[in-house]
Formats: sequence, C-alpha cells, structure tokens
Amino acid sequence: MVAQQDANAFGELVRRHQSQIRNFLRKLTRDNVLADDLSQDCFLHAWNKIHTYAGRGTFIGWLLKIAYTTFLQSKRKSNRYHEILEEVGHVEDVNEERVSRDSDEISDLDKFLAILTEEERAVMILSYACGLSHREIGDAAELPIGTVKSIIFRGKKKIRESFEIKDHQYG
Amino acid sequence: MKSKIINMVDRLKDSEELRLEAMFKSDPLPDLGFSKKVMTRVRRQMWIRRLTMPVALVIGGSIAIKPASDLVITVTKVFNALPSNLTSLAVDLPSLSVDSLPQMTTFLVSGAIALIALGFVRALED
Repeated sequence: MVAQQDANAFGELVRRHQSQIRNFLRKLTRDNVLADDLSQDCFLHAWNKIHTYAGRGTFIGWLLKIAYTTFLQSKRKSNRYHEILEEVGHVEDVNEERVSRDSDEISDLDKFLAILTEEERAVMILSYACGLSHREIGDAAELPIGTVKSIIFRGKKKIRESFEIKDHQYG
Repeated sequence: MKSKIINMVDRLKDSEELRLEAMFKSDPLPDLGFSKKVMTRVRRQMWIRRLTMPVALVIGGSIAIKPASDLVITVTKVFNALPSNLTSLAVDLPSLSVDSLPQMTTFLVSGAIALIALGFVRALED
C-alpha cells in the first residue's frame, strides 16, 4: 500500500518535470525519439535511486543530473555499437541513419548547438534552457564551479564568433 | 562611479543573458502519455522485484527438496543406529568450549558468506 502511494507520488513528479527533462535531452541529443527514450530511462533510474535524494538542492537539478548521466551512458553504449558495426562492415547503415536525421528541419538553436562540444552544449543548455545556477550545473555535470563558468564563457564566445554576432545580438 | 560602472557591466551582461535565455527557451512539452509509459515501466519493475524472491525460493526449494529430504532421512537413520549409551555424552556438551565445536567455524563461515552475498546483491540492485 505504501509502495503504491509512493508510486503515485512519483507519478505526479514525472508529470510535473517530464517537459523539462525531455526538452533538455531533446536539445542535447537533437533526436526527439531518442530523447524521449532516454527520458523514460532517466525517470526509471530516478525511481530506483529516489532514496539517495537527500533534499539538498532542487529536485529538478537532481533529475537533470540523472538525465545527463543517462545521456552519457547511452552515448558510450552507442559509440561501442558503432565501433562494432564498423568492425563488421556496416558503416553505411550508420551513415544513412545520420543523413536521414540531419535532413530534418534545423533550427537556429540547432546551428548554435552544433558548433559546441558535447560538454559545452550540456552546460549551456543546463544554464540557459533549464535555468540552473552555476553550482547546480557543477553538481549535475560533476564539474567545479570555475570550470562551469569558463565553459559558459567559451560557449558564448564560440557562438558570437561563429555567427559574427555583434553587440550580443542573438536570434 | 565605480559602482555605476559595475552596474552597467551587470546590465549589459543581463541583456546578453536574457537574449541567450530567449534563444534557448522552448515551449513546455505536452505529456501525451509519456508519464503513463514511465509509470507502467515503474510498476512493472516493482512487480518483478516483488516476485523475484518468492519465485527464486520456489525454484530453489523444488530443486533442493529431494536432496534435503534424503539428508534428513539419512541423519535420522544414523541417529537411530547409534548405541543408546552414547547419548549420555550430551550431558558433557555444555562443559565444552565453543572453539572446540568443529561446526562453529562452519556456521561462522556460512554466515560471513551469506552477509557478503547479501551485500553484493544490494550493490547490484543499486
């Protein structure tokens, strides 16, 4: 009965935070289907680790940390999968998949995010899309605050330089 | 004067930050059954966890029942075959030290193994 009540409470948390988690992973992966799959995995991990949430920091910060870890784990698995495909000579299939994904409509934000490294992209999204503080980003990405600040600075510089934006005119 | 400059720098920064936030901002995504899918997976996992132990016990029990019953029968036969005067030795048993009982080591080792196994299973779950 208690477990059932907890599951119901967790369901409410999923409903409340699904949009932010899915948006974060959609921007990070640039693949809506993959992002939604990863979001499901993220919430399942959160359910399994809910006892480790000590109430320090915001719940969404804690969830985003799990989402980022889930993304990195999936990325590692995917890299290994592509390595295996390459070893057995199925490189074309991988490339075809990539082309079909790239042919989808590309937004301005996608162009901006494309010039950033994976880590820069994650930090910039956590900061500007999710609204986390530097400390929360540091916790989520397991980086010192100083590194977070320098990554944001570098990311902004890259965006400005790559798109010749003057006087901070974005968009 | 200095504070005014700092305020102006902050204001410039804020304007840049606001533009970046606007650029990164996206509309809230409608649920469209997402939460339901997650909760179905959560509940499925809960049931699997609840059923794992009883199912393992039933399977393990069904495998172990034959050798266990054979063991019980054999032990009973051995005890029945012992001469009745040997049972008087039992009176002296409490006077023996714990270390002198050979089965104590077995119990301790078994307990340690069980504890390690339990810890390992919990670590795997985490």
